[in-house]
Amino acid sequence: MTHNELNLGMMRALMDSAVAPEEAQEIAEHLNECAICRGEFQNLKTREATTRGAMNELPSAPCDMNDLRRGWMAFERKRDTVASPRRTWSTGKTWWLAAGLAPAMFVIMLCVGPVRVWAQNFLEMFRVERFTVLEVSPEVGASLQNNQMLNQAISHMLSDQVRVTQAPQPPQPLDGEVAARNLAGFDVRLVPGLTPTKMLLEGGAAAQLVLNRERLQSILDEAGRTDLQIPASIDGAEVSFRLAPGVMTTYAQCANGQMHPRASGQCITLMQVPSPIVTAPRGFDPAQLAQVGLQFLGMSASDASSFTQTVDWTSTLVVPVIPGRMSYRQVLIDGREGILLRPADSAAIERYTLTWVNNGIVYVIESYGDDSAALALAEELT
Amino acid sequence: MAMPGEWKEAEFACLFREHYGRILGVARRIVGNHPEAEEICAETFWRLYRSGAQITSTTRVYGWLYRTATRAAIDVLRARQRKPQEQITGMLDPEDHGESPLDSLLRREQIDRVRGMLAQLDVEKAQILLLRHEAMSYMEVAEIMCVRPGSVGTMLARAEEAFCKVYRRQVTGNERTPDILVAKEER
Repeated sequence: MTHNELNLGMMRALMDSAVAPEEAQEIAEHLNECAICRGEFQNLKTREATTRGAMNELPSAPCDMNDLRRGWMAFERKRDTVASPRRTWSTGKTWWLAAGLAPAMFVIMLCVGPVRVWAQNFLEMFRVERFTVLEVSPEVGASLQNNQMLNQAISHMLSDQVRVTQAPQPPQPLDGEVAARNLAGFDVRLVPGLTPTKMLLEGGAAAQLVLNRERLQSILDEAGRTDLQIPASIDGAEVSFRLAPGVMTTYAQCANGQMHPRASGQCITLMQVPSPIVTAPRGFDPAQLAQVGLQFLGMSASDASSFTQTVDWTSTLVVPVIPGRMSYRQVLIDGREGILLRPADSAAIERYTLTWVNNGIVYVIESYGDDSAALALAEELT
Repeated sequence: MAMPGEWKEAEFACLFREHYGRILGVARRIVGNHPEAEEICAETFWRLYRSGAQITSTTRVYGWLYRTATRAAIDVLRARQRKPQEQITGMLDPEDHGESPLDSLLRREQIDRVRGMLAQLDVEKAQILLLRHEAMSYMEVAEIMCVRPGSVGTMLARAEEAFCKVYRRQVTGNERTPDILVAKEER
């Protein structure tokens, strides 16, 4: 074993006999040869002894049947007296929401870089006004997707660190444009000449995330990116995310609400939702975090630096795209930048997703057709 | 009849019996043997109950309970540190070990000091130190902390380094004091 191969974790595991015998032998041989590692090993031993000595001071207090009975009664009291309705919001949904919010929060955090001055405000506020695409290599995409430990670590971090302050409500049917406007609080657009087959008020959620540098760093470590360092300045920053309710309108024959291959024009879904808002403590500088995030997604340090300088970070939402799985085209809709995405799957080649922002409302169309049909449909909504 | 995702009463009661003792033990080690430990446990099990039967395997349930309870317990320690000293004396570990009043006082001061140090650590660091001190294997620690077993050594080394930094600050007033001198100071 070489000097560079031996790390603190291996030495620490050796102290607890938690390494395989062959590896223990190799570590021991290196320690015999290397004074630097031997010194570090001695430091580890001293720290372990100090910590163990201190922890031994904490008294243990075994639990008996009376404790168990009293505990159950305390639990029952809590269960029976908590005023809020039971199970209005399940862990599954919380995780679903967290998982859904995570990419959005991550990319939004990536977006809020070299900071425009919001100096009069107590909090920094960021609002999505446009989109841009970030290409992520298929290898990086696959390795992130297939790394179960990493995904589990992220899920647990979200479960522990994200607090849902406003749970999304179940979809609520809307009876026409006026009802939609009244309930959603903005002017809802309809496709001219078509009658919606379904109109729903959906979502509306808010959550807070307390950034924990150590936790984020351990996730990078789990992903094998020990070369990346989360900046200490973000530790403890409380970032809030708010998404207002949106209106989902479906036109014509979408099987069970799902898209399916068909002739152009038969199935359109249109989502309209006010731009998500992110607030962060004043002075929070997410540009450093963005640099790390971009490198995590496979960019070199210099490319990440260049990328951060090419975008208006205060208001741009970055959409990660994996070439080969999705093709994209940046388009203009009534002078606003938008993105037209298509799956690379040839069987679904006609299917597209078109998204853009206008006057603080995010529009997302899913339908089938060529680019000109997609843009024509979008123009009809402006 | 329980809805999908809801606990069945008997199932939850069984789970409660299986895990309550260990979780209460951990909470008591952190905050001491008094009603706050029971309140932490009641809240932890209530949160598990409210969240629904999404977590099923025994290890995952224990891991979830452990992380939730220890986080709450460390929050209690941090809240205590913010309170004036006179409000918290008398709340901590009134166990009688047949000691002289002076020995008892010194022991309680030492326990308070260790708890104060734990309160200054990141929660994950405090959690892994407590887990390891329960003589759990690296595999068990990894399952509870949701990390790879290969990461436990590094996490433990970092946690002990952070703990010793706090320790040095308290013992010598200087966190840069070499570990070896702190060890001598202890003796």
